[in-house]
Amino acid sequence: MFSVNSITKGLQKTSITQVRTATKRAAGSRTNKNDSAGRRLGPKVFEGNFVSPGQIIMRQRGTKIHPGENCGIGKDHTIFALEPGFVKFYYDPFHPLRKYVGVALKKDYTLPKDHFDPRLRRFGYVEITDEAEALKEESRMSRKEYLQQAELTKKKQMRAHHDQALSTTFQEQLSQFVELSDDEATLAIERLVNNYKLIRLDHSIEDANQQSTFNYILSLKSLLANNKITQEELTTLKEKYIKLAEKLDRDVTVDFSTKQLTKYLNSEQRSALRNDIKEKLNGFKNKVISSEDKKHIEQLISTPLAFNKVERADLTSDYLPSVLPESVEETVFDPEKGIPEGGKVITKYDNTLRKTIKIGRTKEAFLNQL
Amino acid sequence: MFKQFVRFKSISNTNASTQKVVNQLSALSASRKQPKLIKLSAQDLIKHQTIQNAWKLYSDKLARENRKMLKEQYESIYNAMEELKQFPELFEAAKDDVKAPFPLEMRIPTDFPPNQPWIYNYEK
Amino acid sequence: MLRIFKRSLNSGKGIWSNFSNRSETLKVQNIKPHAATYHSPLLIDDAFKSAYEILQQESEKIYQRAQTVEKDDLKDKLLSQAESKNPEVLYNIQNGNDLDITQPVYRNHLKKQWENYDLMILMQRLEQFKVIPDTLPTIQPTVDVKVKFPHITNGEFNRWIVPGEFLPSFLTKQPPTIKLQQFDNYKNESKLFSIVLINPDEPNLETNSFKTTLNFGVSNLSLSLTDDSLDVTKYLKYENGSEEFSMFKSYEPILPEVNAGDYQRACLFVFEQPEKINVDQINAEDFDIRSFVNNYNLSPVGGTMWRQKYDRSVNDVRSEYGLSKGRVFHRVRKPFPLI
Repeated sequence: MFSVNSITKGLQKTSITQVRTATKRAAGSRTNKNDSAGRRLGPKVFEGNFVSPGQIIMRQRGTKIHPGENCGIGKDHTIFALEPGFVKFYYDPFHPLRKYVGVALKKDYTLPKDHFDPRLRRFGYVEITDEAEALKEESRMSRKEYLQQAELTKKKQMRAHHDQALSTTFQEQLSQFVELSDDEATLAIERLVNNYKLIRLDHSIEDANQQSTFNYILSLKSLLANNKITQEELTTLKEKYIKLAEKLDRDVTVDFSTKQLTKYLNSEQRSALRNDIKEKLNGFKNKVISSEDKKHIEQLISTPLAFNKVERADLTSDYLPSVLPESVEETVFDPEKGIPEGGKVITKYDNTLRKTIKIGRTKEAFLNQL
Repeated sequence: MFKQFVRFKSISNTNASTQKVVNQLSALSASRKQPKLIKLSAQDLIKHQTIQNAWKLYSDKLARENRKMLKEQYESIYNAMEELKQFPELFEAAKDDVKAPFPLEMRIPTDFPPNQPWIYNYEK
Repeated sequence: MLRIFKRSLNSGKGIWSNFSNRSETLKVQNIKPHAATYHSPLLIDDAFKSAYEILQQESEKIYQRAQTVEKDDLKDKLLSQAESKNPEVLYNIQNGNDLDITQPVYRNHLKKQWENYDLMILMQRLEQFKVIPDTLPTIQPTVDVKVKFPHITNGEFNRWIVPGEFLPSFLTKQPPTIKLQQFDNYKNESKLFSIVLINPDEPNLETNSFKTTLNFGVSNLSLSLTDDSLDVTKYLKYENGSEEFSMFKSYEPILPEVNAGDYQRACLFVFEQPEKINVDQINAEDFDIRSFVNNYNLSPVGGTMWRQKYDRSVNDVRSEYGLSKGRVFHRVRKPFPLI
């Protein structure tokens, strides 16, 4: 064993210095090594510089600058030009805290534009001068349009066929109403076919007449525009047509449901006709209706020029209900006293008695089975 | 056999069928549990609206009268105080905000008289 | 039931049963009976009768107040208020009966209906498609403008058009019927209107930009509450020389060319005129609507718009109007700058 004294004496003589060897890694290396290269952010073009569409104006993290006029923004907030023009950085009074960059289409154009000024817009399309190429471009169809062609032609043919059928029926009937020359008759039939189509769409007879006249005048104008007729010819043709129209409208019109020609009635005559028919119909109210009566009522309701589609439906439900009301006493019987042939027993809830009751109805009550 | 683990045993007193209804109702939204809207005919709807309109007119009239009365009460207090300004002592006295206008010490009315009907040495 | 609804009304002596000063159109129309299975709520008729009396008395007071009022707008408001609780009027409004626009109560109802839906749609379309400010700086409509093309025999288009929708060229080849529903014309007076239809998207190849063309222009058109539309009858009268208005640009449909932009906007504006005007020297090919409005001191009161693009019917309509075949543009937009 050494004594403490002897050691300290020894140290004083030899002077030993302690050395620490590196036994542990230095701290901090882990994060320091993660440094990435700069992302090269910032504006790529400056105020007043010219840019073409798609050119990048600004790379940024978040929207330091917002895309203004004629600029777009990418998913990493890159701002790019949408139109060729000159870059302008500006503030927008509608968003006072934002900076904007926009592309002005003209060098001396300032952004933002006044709110109520019209926009400056670029057209950008170039005309095809080669005729063959232009024709090709014009006749180009989308797939959707191409696939629809077959159906469209079919519909067109059907319409033409339908018009043809209408004109032949009108041609057969026209002489019963007015005497016309052949030229006039063709015009008249054309007019009546158009009138029919308009009346079917709930135009009044008078409106349809006027519209057809106007159509003819426009077709004359079209002929004039294409130099097929002169101005004088136009005036004479027009006057001729108006006279023909007056003559025709006075005597004949089309019934929309039967597609037949009928005698024209003015609005007073029509309302008189309506009242007359309603009076006749009232004679059938609360009575047993035979199958002949039913036919007669149907005929009355569908009298030409009297009622429109909605009115006809209302009248049918009023005067030809599927089951006659119980107020028609002949159609009601007491089921306990036996059921006549064809009769039916109906169970229904009585509001006043507050219970279900049984009522017998004879077969005459069921108009829909007549 | 499949045995479901039950953490707590159900402690409801209702029987199974009632409980089933309760469960079904709990799954329904509140709006479906509302009583059905009465369907009125076109005429009756107008009648209903007319009755509502008349009731609204009547209750508006009542409210207006009430507001008018309160306003008049306020104005008469105001005028009285204005007049009192000529007599400063009275004005000061009237201005004193009486904290408890109703005596807090007063007994609550009971069916029987109190054991000690009168406190002779009462001090506030 | 039916009887009570109609006449606590007829038999009564109140203002709502008196049609000597009030219009017949305030009477209930097309009243429909209940279904056979329907039950009325108990005692509703008794309550209705007394409610009717209360409201009628109130109405009478409002009528008396209206007589003392001088200002037109206030008077109109009171007259509308006096009838607004009338069950007959309410029935007509709520059951789709025809409403007489000359009656203040119906007019106010229609105005509110217009403001709550059609006007909102219109303003949305005008703003989204940048019709304002590309044409006029802005517009605050006070007149409901409706447009339809009555010549069409195809049921799909036999209706008033919705602002902003795409219309085919075969539909727009004839001048439209334009209906102007005024709401603040209290006395049913005739007022003078101008109508223009412009297309701000006509290509201008010299500047590689666009110009505005005038496609239809009408002025000095006198319309009131009841005579409210420019329709075929009036066009025919104009054609026959018995003109009631002047047409400074006859109708020429918008006929977009192939690939000339996504769509072209047809913007129809209605202006109220302070007096008769004589429009001359109009450059329809390059029309400046703002200076037009300033020159003739017009105030825009309404408008509508639709869109059009090239379709297969364009060439036919072009030949009908004696126009040459339209230009064809490349499908791809080129990056040439504005000139």
